[in-house]
Amino acid sequence: MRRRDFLRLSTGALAATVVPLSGCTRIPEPSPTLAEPTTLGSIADDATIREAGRAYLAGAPREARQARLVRALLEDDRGDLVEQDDPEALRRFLAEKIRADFEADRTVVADGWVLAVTEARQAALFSLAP
Amino acid sequence: MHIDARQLDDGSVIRGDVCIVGAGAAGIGMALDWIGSGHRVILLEGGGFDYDADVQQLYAGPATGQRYYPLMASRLHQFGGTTGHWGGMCAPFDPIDFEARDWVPHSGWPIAHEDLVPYWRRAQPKVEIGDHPFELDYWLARDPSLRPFPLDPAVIRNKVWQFSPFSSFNRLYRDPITRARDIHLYTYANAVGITASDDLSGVRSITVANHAGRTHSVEARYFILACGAIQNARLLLASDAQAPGGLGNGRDQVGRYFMEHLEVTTGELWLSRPQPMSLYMWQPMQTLARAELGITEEAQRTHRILNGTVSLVPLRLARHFTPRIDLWQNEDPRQSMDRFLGDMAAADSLAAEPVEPRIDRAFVLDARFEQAPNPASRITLHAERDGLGMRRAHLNWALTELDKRSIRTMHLLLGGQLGLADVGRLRLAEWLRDDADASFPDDLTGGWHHMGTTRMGTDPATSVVDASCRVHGIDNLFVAGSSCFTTSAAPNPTLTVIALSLRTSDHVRRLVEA
Repeated sequence: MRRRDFLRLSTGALAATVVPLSGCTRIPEPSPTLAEPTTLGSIADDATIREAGRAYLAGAPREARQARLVRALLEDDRGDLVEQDDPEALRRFLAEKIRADFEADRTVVADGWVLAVTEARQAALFSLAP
Repeated sequence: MHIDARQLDDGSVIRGDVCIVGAGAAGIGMALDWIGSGHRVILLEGGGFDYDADVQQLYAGPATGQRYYPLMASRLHQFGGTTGHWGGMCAPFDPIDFEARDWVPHSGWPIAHEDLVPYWRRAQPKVEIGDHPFELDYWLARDPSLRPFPLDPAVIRNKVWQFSPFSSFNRLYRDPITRARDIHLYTYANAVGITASDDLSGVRSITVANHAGRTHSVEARYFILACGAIQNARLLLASDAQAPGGLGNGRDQVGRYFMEHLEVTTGELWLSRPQPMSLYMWQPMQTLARAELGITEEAQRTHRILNGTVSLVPLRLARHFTPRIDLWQNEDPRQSMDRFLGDMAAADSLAAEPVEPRIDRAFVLDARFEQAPNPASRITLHAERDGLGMRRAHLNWALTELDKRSIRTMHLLLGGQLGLADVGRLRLAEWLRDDADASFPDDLTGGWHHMGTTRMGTDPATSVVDASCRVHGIDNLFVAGSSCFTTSAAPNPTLTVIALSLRTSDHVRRLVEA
């Protein structure tokens, strides 16, 4: 269900909102994997994930744009954006970011959920779908 | 030996070597150790062996501040005391609980954790948990199916509880006490006042009364108050004929620092994948030991928070529970108990219905947290008098910002560790989500763990009893039990009530035999 929701997100109206940040690398369109927080997705339904995402954005309004979230999610330690063409590799990359977030205490409370900031951003990206 | 004080001639004088006031966990725990001592021990109990509505009514009184149970319903006024509705949970306090912590005002006992270790061991058989240690490694070795979560032991600890098999002291110890030749149990002997010497340096007698209109005097070499934290304070405050403000209360400390355990649902844990959970689960009358999750002492120091633990209850069951404080609002504790048991039975029945598989990986977090010692949280005397003419107790339960901050911080740490190990995700209850809100919800439930109202300390300006639990300045008056606790720690207090009381009793015995 989330994959279908996300495909609706990434076609049509939202294609027009994928704009490069001024003076920066063009932000690619997000793959469905990016908006699928793995652990949260295994324990919560879509509505709950959406609420968590909205709650995160309420506390981080500057990230309430798809491009900003995509950049934050794809950025590696050097500030480069990783490729999205291999969903499995992307999931491993995100899992490592989440682990590193918890290790460094980069956590947020979103609708009560104690989440790594990366998975909160994934929920936020998911919540931007209509 | 048992005497019904209603049957004595009015104005009788009862004499003994030691007088223990109160036959609950503390009083009975001490009396058992005096059996065969050859000394004459008077054990006073205000009620009888069965529930007596008139006697129970003596415990009624108003409660203000943070919502609390009716005072009458939170204790049992009969032989065995509140062990009559005790859940049987036993665990010793932690070393940090006894330390002076600079982030916890008024903390620091005048004794150390090691001072109570031999007494916890002596207390264990009295609550029928044998001599099993509380160390986690012991239980993991004993039962390999018990597996702790793979969390960082530098941050999260598993604290072990053992379970007394619902042993009401009334049932367990009525015969041993009444058959003992040197224990003189007087039922229907409510202590209503203490008479001191002219210079207030010693107690001459305690006056007892009952609804049969009989009033008697008890004389002894040593007196030990063991009526529980509310009643111990009440009795001292009400003994104001010679000492305005109450006996032992020259510095206005009696009744202050009332502490409870903050017992409340704090959130949910949703497991990423199925985990062995038997270490954290409890089946009444079956489970010998269970762990609760807590923050290590080092983490408490680093984050400057109070001590506390959380237990896990399957969501499929816990979501049907009504908060106990909502169920236990009938002043008659028997009716409150009926409602409570009915609610549990209904929850059990609803929990049996089919649910989505992911629900079976979800658990409600129930916290039990230490309350920061607060002098404004206190027992005072109300103007209204009870059926025996004694002013009623009034509880004002007052919490502080540190209490809520500790609970929230602990859960954020726990949530982080659960995420790091990918055990699952923690979801905070709504009342914990706003870090700027210091209020507690109305369904915050105390555990009927009344503590701190005659606290231990070396300085009479900030305490009521010394390191031996002797009332400052009064040579032969001691207090036993949880009213002497300087801080409340995280675990249920009964095991420590008995342990500390045994220590006090040993001290008194040395004095008697000197």
